[in-house]
Amino acid sequence: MTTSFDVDLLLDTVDQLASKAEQRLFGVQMPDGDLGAVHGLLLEASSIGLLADPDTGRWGVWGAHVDSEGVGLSLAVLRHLGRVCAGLATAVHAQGLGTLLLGSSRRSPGTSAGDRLVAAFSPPFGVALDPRTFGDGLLLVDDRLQGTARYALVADSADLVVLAARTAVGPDACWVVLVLPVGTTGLRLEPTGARIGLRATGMVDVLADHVVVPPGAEHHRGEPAERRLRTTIGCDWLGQAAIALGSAERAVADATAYTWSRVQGGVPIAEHAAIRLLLGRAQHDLSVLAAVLDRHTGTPLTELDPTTLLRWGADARLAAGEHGSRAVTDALQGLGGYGYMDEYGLSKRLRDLAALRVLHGGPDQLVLLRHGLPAAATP
Amino acid sequence: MSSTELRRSVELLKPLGRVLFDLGEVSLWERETATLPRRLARRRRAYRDFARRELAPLVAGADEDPAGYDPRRLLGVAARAGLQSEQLPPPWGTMPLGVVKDGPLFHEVLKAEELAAVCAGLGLGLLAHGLGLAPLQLCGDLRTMRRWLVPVCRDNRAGRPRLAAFAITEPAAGSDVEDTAGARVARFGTSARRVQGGYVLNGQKVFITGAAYADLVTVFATLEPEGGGAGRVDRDWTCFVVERGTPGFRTGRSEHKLGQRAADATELFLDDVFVPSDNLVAAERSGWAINRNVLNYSRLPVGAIAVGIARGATEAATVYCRRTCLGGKPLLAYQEVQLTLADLWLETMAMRAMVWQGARHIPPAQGISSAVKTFCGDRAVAVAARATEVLADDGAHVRGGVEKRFRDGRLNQIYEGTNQLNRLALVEALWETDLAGGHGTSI
Repeated sequence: MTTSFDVDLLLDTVDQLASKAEQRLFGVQMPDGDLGAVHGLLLEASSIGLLADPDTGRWGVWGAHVDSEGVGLSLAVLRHLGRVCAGLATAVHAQGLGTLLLGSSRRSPGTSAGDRLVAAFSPPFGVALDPRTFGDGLLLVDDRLQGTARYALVADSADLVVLAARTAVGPDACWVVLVLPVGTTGLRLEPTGARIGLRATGMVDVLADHVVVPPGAEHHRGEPAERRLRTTIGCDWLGQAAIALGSAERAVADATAYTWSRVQGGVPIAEHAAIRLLLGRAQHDLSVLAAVLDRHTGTPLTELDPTTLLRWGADARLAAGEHGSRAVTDALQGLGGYGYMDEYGLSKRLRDLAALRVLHGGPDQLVLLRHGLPAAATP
Repeated sequence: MSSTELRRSVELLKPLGRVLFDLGEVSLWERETATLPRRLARRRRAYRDFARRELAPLVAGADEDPAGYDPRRLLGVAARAGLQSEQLPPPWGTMPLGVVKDGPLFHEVLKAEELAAVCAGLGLGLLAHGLGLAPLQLCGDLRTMRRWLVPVCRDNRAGRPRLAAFAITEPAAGSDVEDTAGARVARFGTSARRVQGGYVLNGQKVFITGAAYADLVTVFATLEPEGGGAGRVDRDWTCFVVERGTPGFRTGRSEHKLGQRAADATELFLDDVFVPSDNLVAAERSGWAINRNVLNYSRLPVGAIAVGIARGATEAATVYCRRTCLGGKPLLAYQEVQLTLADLWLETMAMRAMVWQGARHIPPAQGISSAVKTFCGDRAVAVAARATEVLADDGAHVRGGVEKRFRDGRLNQIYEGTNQLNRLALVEALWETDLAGGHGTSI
């Protein structure tokens, strides 16, 4: 059982890591800082137990503790990291998602005990949940993997790739979860190219060209695989929302500090009604997002109906897209021209929020899929 | 898109009925162009062709590496095409005939939209020249116009690019020097004092678009008050032309910006800069009026830049949805996608309608210009954000062609006075006639 003391201690550790990250990942000359520092920061996150461990699956963000203690701790860690760098937080989040998708499975053949960083494939939820699109992703037929998994979140130095594939096109087929070393013959990780934000997180399309899947690489099949996939997707949305919240909180805090230092009309602009309206609305947006995110944090994941989890995750992601983004853009507006300049950091947060807003699918897709979810099981 | 059945049904109408029924398969751009006077329609087509030919190849490089982008070649091409001398009519410049009837800014808003539809940053880099010349154009002083505006327009028309920039913003004074209430107490640092044969300027400017390459800058400074004491922007502001190479006048760093990156935003330093009396624009202490009117004129093209950004995002999203398949069919075939695209197109149409209507006001009025700038700036960001959503993950990628529009559009809510300030400018403009006075209300 995690105590509040343990949580405070952990979050204190997170803040220490975040402080180091801030020095490396913010820079005037390079708006996203030194992205070469990300690998070291992830290893450090691993060494202090923040990064989920694909071997044991126990610790870190989205580690197995969520089954018994709920997702509150993972969300709190991501929120704290998001206050410094949403991209770094997303990298930590991605590692957890890969581990969560694997569940408590054992290590696969072909992987070694030194492998730590996972190329987490968080399948675009349209492909994962919308039967119309089941033919658009990876297919595993006769132990051969074929097709493309798009927008996989990947650390540059990933050792493993966790994938979800269909056994055939069409709704009658089933899901399979498998893990492969990144060097597997026929498996190619192709960077998706320049992005507006979250640049500290690698993103690739995973291309499989008749990849022979060795025995033991398959970890879940059928209903258990689909359950893990749905759980992972729900947690993906929740994590994104927590990162967005952290990033937006920092933006509003920075903007508030600026408005007390900037004088116009003989008084700090913080006293102007226009600024008070901007920042007041931003604070309200933060409260709304935090409230949505807090809904089931204390409930063990095993006690949470998968549909309830998905609905909660969708609500949180939608709230992040709407309220988180608005809080950041209002905060930026409070700085006027300076908000638009990279030097003040608000522009980076706006870019990161813009990327989070569409990560693994746009809001309309989310609304439609949420609407199509079956009614939650009665407790 | 007309169905065969509909066409057949229309054919059954009497001739007049058939004429009254629109079955033409003409693009929206062509339809709207057809509503313009012929001279403006020709200009609109020329601006579009220029933007597609000259700007499009530069977009990616200039956005990715603005420090490595040198605009001088484009400035030369634009000058030769007549885009940089439209502040005066022939024989000095290339201003279209008919501006008195069409509105002095109609060609400018058409140009701004077409350039920004391809790249708002590259477009701004060209359009900022007009802003730099605006004080010379609007001061109404023939001496100033002959001395500065005529030769600059002539050179540009002849293909010898000479770039102008407009400098009001300072480190400690931004939006507050753009409205009446703020100006009275603005902390404005750039000063001018009279000396034998001219003036000496001291101070610093920031975020000056085009200043990195400008040959001349229209600089606003507070002239020392006659009776001593502190100068006031609304009473003592004076506009001067400062030429590149003037001793004591230098540029500083160009800022790293979120968007519209191809257009530099550069610092200017004035250390005991002597300018001869010839460089005074119009009259001493007339700067406040000049500045306000420049903003009345410039906010309409800024609104048009926003239209261009929204249109660029809309067109990019449309192309993407046409080409991208999901579940075996194009995104364009999904009803939810059609609904979103409809929003993008109709919002852009509404923005353009407002800009074109605003451009018909002669002369441009503060309330109208501020309303256009504010509405279009806000809607451009909303349209670009919505466009990124319809592309989902690809919307966050450069290859999707819309994330830049979102970054670019965000500046339109800030420059030429923040949208908060512009809302207050609208209130100020309507105060006597429509708000407190109530003459314009029907209640």
